[in-house]
Amino acid sequence: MTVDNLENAEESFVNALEAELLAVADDDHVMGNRLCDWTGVAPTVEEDVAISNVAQDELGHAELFYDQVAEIREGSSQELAYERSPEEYRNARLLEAPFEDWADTVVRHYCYDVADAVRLRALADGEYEPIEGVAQKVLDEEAYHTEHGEVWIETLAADVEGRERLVAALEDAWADALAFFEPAGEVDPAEAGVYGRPLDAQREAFVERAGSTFESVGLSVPDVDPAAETGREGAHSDDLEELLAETREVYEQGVDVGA
Amino acid sequence: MSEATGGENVYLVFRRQDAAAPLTEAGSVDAKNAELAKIYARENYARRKRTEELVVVPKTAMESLGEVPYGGTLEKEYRENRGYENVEGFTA
Repeated sequence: MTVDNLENAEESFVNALEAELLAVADDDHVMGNRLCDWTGVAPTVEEDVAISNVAQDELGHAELFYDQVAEIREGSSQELAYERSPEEYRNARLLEAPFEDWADTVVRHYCYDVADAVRLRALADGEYEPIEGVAQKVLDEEAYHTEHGEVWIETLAADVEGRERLVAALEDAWADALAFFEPAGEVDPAEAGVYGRPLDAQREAFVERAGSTFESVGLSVPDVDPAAETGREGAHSDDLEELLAETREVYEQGVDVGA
Repeated sequence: MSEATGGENVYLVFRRQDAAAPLTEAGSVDAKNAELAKIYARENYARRKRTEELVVVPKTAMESLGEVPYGGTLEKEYRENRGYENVEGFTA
């Protein structure tokens, strides 16, 4: 079954779709703004340009998906990006905290890129036809991001201190990364038809892909359960509140900024 | 990205705009290894420009001839392609 127009779709499908698209948009919004912390202070001027380009891509993806949600809600993408309270955000907790160091950035962003790619593939394979083109455009850009992450994982792993920091970052992030694949709405989004692949199977695909990258440099991923608090149901750290306050600064001065 | 200073992490970046164009030096990147250098070359020198080919070369691989013998020392500029415009007695 495919859905090409939401006016004829079942309410449960529309609700599940809206919840998942909002989670996608919030993930990109939080990750993109968090990565901006490196603009101007990245390890080298070359990396500054590279990571800032990546941040800009993520913010662009956020706008694409906020537009989709705004259409369903008959609202605006700016309201979604800048006028909600932190507990209304559905982003994964993995993305919230300020980065500890460069290794923490590489690990968390790489995990996000791989997880996001798995999810977008499942979204493109789901029943909502109009999202396929959007998901594919984002997937094309994500391929560059994962390459950037893989090269940095290899680079850090080849250095004694870099390797230690990589191990520490992986230990800290992994449970939150596993918790990425939790439903953002009331119902199971795969059963509702939003995703063409169940969340558990998406998580397995993520572990296989990201795990093999870490294994290729001799690191094994921690054997832990997904974190109990995921962010998908609105439970966030104070870090999110601080980050969102910063993102709203320009918007709140009445400047017409994009989502 | 500034002028290469000769450090071991410097890679020179060469870019070919289209199939018929020569490979020309675009600048340089400071990178820990060749793989990172390729990413930086792409992000810094090709992301917003039409690019057919992009190449990075470790600066340490450049073999310099030092001072080139006779280069430019014989005052025979009139043999250069730009012609006779600066040579007294010839109209360009």
